[in-house]
Amino acid sequence: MDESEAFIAWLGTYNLPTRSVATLADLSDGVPLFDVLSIM
Amino acid sequence: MRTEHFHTLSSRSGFPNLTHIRLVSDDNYFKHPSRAASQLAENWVLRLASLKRLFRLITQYFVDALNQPSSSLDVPDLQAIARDHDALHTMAVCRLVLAIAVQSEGKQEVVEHIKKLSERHQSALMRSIEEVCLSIYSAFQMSNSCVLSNTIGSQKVPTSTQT
Repeated sequence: MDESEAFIAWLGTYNLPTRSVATLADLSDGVPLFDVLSIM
Repeated sequence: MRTEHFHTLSSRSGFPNLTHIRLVSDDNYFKHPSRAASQLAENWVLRLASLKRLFRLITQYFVDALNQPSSSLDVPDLQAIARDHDALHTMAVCRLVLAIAVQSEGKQEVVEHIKKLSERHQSALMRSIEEVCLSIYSAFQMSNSCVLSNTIGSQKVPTSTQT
C-alpha cells in the first residue's frame, strides 16, 4: 500500500496536463504515465 | 524526454576519430496518444492499446537510451490493468516509469520532486527503484546502471513527522 500511495503522491508533485491521479485506477489507460515521462 | 540515438561509423568513413554521429533527436519519445483521454477512460480495449504503446516505448527506452536490457524487466499483464484496474500489475508499470525517471536527463528534477514527499513515501519509492535495478543487475551484472538510486539513498531525507 505504501508503494502505491508513494507513487501517486509523487505523480501529485507534477502538474499533469491530462488529469490528476487519485487512485491506481486512474492509471489504467497509461495516460498520466505518458504525461509524466514526457516532461522528464 | 530527450533521446539521442547513435550509430557507429565504419572505419571506411575516413574519419577515424568521428566514431559516433547523432542520427535522431526526439524530444517526444513518450508522446501522448492521439486519442482523447475521455475515450480511453470509457473503453478497456482502447486503454489496453494505449498501455501496449506505453510498455513498448518503455522497453525501447531501456534499450535505446539507457543501454539496459528489456529482457530483464518484469512484464506486467496489461489486459488486467486495462480491463480490471489490477493494482499489482499497475504498480509493475509504475516501477518501470520510476526507474526511467531517475535515470533520465531530468533526473535531478525527479529527485527534487521525490524529496518533497514524506520520509515514508521516499523510502517506498526507493524500494521500488531498487527492485527494478536489482532485476537488471541480477540478469546482466551491469555495474554502471541505476547509480542514481544510490545517490538518492545517500541523501539526507527530511525529518518528517508523517504518521
